[in-house]
Amino acid sequence: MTIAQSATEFKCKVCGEPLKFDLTNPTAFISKSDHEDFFGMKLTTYRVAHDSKDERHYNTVIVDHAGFFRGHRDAYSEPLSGITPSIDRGYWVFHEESETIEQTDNVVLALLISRTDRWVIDAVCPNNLNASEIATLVIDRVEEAWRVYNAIPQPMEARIADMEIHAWTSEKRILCVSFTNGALKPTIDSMASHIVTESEDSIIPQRRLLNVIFRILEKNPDMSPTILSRILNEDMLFATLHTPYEDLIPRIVQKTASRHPIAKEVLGPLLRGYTTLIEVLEDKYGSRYDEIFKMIDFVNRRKLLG
Amino acid sequence: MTSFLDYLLQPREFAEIVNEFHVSDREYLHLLLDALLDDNTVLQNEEGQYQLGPSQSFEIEPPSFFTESVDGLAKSMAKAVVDRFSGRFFDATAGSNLFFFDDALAMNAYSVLRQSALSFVPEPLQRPGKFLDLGCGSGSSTAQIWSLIMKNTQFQPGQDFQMVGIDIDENFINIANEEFYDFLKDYIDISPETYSGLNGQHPEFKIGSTEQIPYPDGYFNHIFLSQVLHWTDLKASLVEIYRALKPGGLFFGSNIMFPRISHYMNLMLKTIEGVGGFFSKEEMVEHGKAAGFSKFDFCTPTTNFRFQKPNNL
Repeated sequence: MTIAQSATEFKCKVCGEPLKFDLTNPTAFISKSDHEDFFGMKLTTYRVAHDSKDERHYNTVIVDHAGFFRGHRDAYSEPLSGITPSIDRGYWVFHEESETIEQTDNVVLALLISRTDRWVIDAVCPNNLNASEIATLVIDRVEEAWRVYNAIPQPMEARIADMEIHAWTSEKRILCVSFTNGALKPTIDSMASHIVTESEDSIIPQRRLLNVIFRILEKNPDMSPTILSRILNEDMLFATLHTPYEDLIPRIVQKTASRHPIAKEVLGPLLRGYTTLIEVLEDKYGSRYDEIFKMIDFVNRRKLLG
Repeated sequence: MTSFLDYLLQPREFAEIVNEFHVSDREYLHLLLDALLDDNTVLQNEEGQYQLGPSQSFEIEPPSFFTESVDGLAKSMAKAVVDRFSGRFFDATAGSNLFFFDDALAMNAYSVLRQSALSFVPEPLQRPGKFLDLGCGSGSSTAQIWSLIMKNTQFQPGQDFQMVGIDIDENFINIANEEFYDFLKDYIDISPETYSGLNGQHPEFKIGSTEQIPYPDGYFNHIFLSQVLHWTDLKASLVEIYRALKPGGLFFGSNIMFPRISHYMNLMLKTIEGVGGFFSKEEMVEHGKAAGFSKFDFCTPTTNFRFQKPNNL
C-alpha cells in the first residue's frame, strides 16, 4: 500500500543534483497543474527551480497522489537574473535530450517561437540553419504584420533568406514552417491553432512532443486533430506507469492484445515501468500512434493502475 | 476462512462465534453455518455447538472452463466471506475486480447460455421492437443479441426496433459505449462503414438496474437478462420489469436456480451489498405472479425462462 508523503524527491535533470520539495508548501514550487485520472492514477505536474552556480535550473516533474515522483516533463536552465532579455538579445534555443529532426520529406523547417519569453523550439531544423536568428527575423516580420493588418492572416507568409515561411500566430507563440512541397500544409493548417494556443496546463511546450508529431506526420499526414491534441496536452505521456497487480500483467497484456495486437509488443514494458508512452511513440511505433492510443484507452477504461 | 475453520476445531456456541469474529450480520453467519452443516464440513453436537468435521482437504480444483479471471474473482469473493460477517461488503468493481469481471463476461459459457435462452424464446429476434438487454455488463451480451437481430431482420426500413443496454455499473457502461463495435466483430462480420450506416439501429447504453429501469411504464416489447437476477432483489426486480413491459410483452432469459447451484456460491455472491442471492423456480414464479405476470415457461435443464405480461390490462 502506498503511504502518502508530502515531500517529493527527485534528481535535477540538468545537473543531477538530488532535490526535494514540499508539496504542501505553495512557495516550494513555481506552479502546479492537476490532471484527470490517467490509467487510474491521480497525477499532478509541478514546476520547481533551484540555483546552481550562475544558472537557475527548472524542472517540471510529474507526481502521483502519494507524493512519489513519476517522471520529468521537461527541464532547462537559464542564466541567473542580472541579464535582462532585450530586443537585441537573440532567442535561446530550448534543448532537451531528444535530437532535432534535421529534415523530413515534406518539411524543411519547423520552429515554435515564444513571442514573450524569447525561446525557440527547433522541431525540424537542418544543422546549417541558425534557429535563433531565424526566430528573431520571424518575430520582426510578425510584429510588422500585427501593426499593418487589422486581422493577421493565418498563416502569414514571409520570405527569410531563400525560404518561404508560413507562420501561424497567437498572442504568445508562433509556429513557423517551411515546406519542401505542399503535401503537409493542409494538415499543419488544421492543427496549427492547437500548437500555438497555450493551454492553461501547459507550462512550457514540449520539444519532444513536437518532434514526435512531426515524425508521425511524415508517415501519417492525416493525423487526427484529436490525437494531436492528446499528444500536446497529455503530460502523462512522460509518466512511468505502475500497476499494483503485477502478477496480472501477463493476463492484462493477453486480453488487451486480443483487441489491440500492439499490446503484445509494448504494454508489458509500459506496465512494468520500463518505458514511457513518449518513448514508445519516439521509437518505431510512432507511425502506429492510433493503435497505441486505442490500446491506452482500452486499459484505462478498466482502471488497472493506481 | 482458514482461521474461521481453525476456530471450529473446538466445539463453539453460536454466540462465541459471533464474539470471536465480531459478527454484525447474524443471518449471514447462519447461512454459512447451514452450508457447512449441509455437506458435513461442520457438525453440530447435541448441545447445539458447532465443530469442524473429520479431517478433510480444502484444496479445490477450479472447473475446467474457469478462466484465470473467474478464478481470481472466485478467490477474492471467497476471502470476502469472513469480512461479510462484520458488515464489510465486497466491492465488485474495485481494483482488479473490474478487469476480472469484464474478462469473465467474455467467457464462452455466457455466450452459450444466451444463445440457449434466445433459442428457447425466438420470437424477439424476428420482431424485436423495443428490446432491453438488462444487466448488459460491458456490452458483449448486447452485441451478440444485436448481431442475431441483424442476421434475422436485416434491419428493414421502417422496422420497429430500438435496442437498449442497461447496467448498474458506470464503468461497464463506459466500456460498452466505447467498444460496442469491437464486441460486435466477435459475432458478425461487419465493416465499420456498414455499422456507421446503421446509425438508427445502434444500441443505447444507460446506467440503471433491474430495480430502476430509466424508461416509462410499458415501454419495452421484450426484456432479456442472462445470469443477472441472482445479483438483485428478485421481488423488486420482477415488479420493475413488469412495469417497464408493454402489455403482452415478454420477459425472458436464463438464470441458474436452486437446487442446481451450491450454497457456497450463494454466500460468495452475498458478500456484495444489495445482492439478493440465488432462488428457486418456485420463488421466481411466486414473485412473478405477485408482480402480475400471467404465463410462465421454463426449460429447467438449460436454466431458461419465459414470463409474459397479460395482454388485457
